Amino acid sequence: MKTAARLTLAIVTITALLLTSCGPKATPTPTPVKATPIPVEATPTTAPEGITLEFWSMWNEPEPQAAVLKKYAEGFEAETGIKVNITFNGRENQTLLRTALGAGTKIDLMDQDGAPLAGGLMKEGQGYALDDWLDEDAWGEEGRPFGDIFSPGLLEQFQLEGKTYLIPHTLITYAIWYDKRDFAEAGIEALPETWDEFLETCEKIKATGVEPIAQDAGVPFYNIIWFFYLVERLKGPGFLLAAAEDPTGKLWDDPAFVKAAEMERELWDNYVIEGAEGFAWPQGQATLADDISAMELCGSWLPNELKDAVDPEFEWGGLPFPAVEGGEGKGTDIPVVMLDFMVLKDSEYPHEAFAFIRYCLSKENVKIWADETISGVPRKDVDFPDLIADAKVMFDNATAFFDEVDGVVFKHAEYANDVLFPTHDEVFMGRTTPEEFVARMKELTITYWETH
Amino acid sequence: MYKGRTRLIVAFLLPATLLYAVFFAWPALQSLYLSLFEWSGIGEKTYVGLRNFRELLPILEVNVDSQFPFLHPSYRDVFFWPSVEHTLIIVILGGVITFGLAFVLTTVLSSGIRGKKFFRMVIFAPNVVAAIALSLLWAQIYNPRHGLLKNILLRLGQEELAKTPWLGPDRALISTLVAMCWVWVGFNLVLLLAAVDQIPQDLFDAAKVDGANPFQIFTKVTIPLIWDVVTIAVINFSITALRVLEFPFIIKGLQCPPQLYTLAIYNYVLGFGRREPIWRMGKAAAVAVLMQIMVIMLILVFMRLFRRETVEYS
Repeated sequence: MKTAARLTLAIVTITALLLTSCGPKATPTPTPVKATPIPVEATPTTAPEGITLEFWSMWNEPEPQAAVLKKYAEGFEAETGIKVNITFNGRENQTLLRTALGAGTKIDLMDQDGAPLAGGLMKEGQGYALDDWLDEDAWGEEGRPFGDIFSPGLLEQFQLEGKTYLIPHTLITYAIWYDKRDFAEAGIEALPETWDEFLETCEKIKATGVEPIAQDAGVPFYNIIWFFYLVERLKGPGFLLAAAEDPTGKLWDDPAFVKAAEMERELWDNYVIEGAEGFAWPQGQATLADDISAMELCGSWLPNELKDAVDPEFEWGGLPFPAVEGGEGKGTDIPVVMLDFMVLKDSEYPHEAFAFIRYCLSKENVKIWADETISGVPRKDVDFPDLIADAKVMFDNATAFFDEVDGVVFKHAEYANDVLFPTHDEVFMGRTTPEEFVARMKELTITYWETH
Repeated sequence: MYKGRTRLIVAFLLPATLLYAVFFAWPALQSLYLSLFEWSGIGEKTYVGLRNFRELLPILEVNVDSQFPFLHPSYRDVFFWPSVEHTLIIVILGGVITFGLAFVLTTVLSSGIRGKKFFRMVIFAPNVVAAIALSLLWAQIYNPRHGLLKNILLRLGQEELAKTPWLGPDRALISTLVAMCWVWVGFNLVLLLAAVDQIPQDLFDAAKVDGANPFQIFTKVTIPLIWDVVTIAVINFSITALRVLEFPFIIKGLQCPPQLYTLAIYNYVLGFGRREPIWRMGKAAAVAVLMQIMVIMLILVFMRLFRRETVEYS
């Protein structure tokens, strides 16, 4: 018995010691990183041999984006001798990366949706500041600074304390994507530019027996697009964010919020496809492909997502979100959603990782990305693919850029998830009145800021 | 001889005990530790004491003006108590539906009908399919435009009922619960049926000879003799139901709506975020600690409720 007890005690002690050594370690507070100035070179950096970059990507392996990234990796290795090892994690990439970084895994580069990335790992100090390298030549374009290739405002969108950590590779905006045939059949010759004209358009389409608006109402961040666009049209960019950030909740007393909720409720009650609240994504957008509904407010990824589901005669059009008469925002203000690269702070080869980003964003490679993934691209000298050509027109004509949900997701992810999205869904789907919605938002905003 | 036997017992118990300590007890203690901190999962932890629990548990600041003070989501956390409510509905109502159906089917299948093995296999079949596939299947069944359920109701002349958005905010939980019970019934049926099959036939014959009707045989003979198995099945079901995640998380597609939040889902959302990086690992750990307490309390209640004298038969 004594021997067994001693044996047991010894094994448990050893195990406890092992567990202690595996416990969470205190991680030093991230300090701002100063990039070492690198001389501008006309030719790509020639790195020491044997470097392999670890790139964790948000795409799934069967997706066309993954295929293109693999091509980039092969081409980059052929030109520089630097190998790029890509791990395709899917949309949970940032979450997986966070855990991996905590476990000490060495990762050099990642990509993800810009707003969540900016509000996540970038805000946690895990990014590498790239400002000192933005003047390096764009890949294959001697004398042209890399930073110059982007449409104006894109690099600044997610800067943190004036520093650039994110480099976009895909550009998206939210628009009303529609079937031109339905519009023609309804006798709509001119596209609506104001909210009243848009409602008339919906009425004409409804008269033809087609449901005007498809909506995957089970997706909160699809529903909120109506609201944040309407608030922007009424009060200009930044107002929703200001209300979200107001700890007194007083900004929610502004009548614009009730008005925005009333406007989208009119849409829901009269023009959104019946049964929308019961859809499980992507059943809502499938009604567009099935010619049951005529249009959907969604990101410019929608035509690509549905391209194999629509019939060959389907004619895609992108309608800018209409202006509201008397509103402070313009009908040419657009939200910008970007998918971005980020070099990790603890990368052993940050400059090589940046060189890979420059390679991916060469003019030739960006054309490949646009054509093979049917995506909008951030280079101002490369067109969007024909399927989403209307989105490019919106970017070219834009009078202001604002972030999705006016920056609330980027800056206050928990507020967006806990307060804004669920409360908005209630009013959007007719379960509360606009007045109750605004009162609730005010109450929850005050409560939220008491504990955050 | 006695010493040798003790050593043998310790030697056999030690690996399981160590595994349990390393993979269950230690992480549970770490959760408790983590729940006292504010931590995003990366970087430094900040000690906040019981703040995470104070955000979750409104009992310290009851709003007496509300009709439902403990469930009215105007407190510091809008999702925790609704998640508790949803979880309890799944456990209690789901348990009643699951075991009610399992008992009925057990009675039918053990009555001597032909094709007993075939029916058992068919009813158990959903348990061998991945939860993701089943969720997607039921999402299609509930499709308000083309779903199987809608088409059946239309054929039955129920046009108004056919328009019901089964996965809308008002019905998503119950609709998802029905789908989950459809899976759970099979597993529990197999357990109960196996237990019933062990009962010697002459006990049933003796009861019939004594004039017992089928209901009396079921309540006075069958249930007492399989009580141990029923207890284990109920406890196992309760634990499974308490920590259910995948079915309600996936059934609506891109994002799980708050109407389907269970404690496990809310725990996941807090710690790992959705598209929005919430990353409140400390608060997620606090939810996990509260879940552990709930499980322990539930097991103690069940063990008390289900305690009875062991019935033996040869």
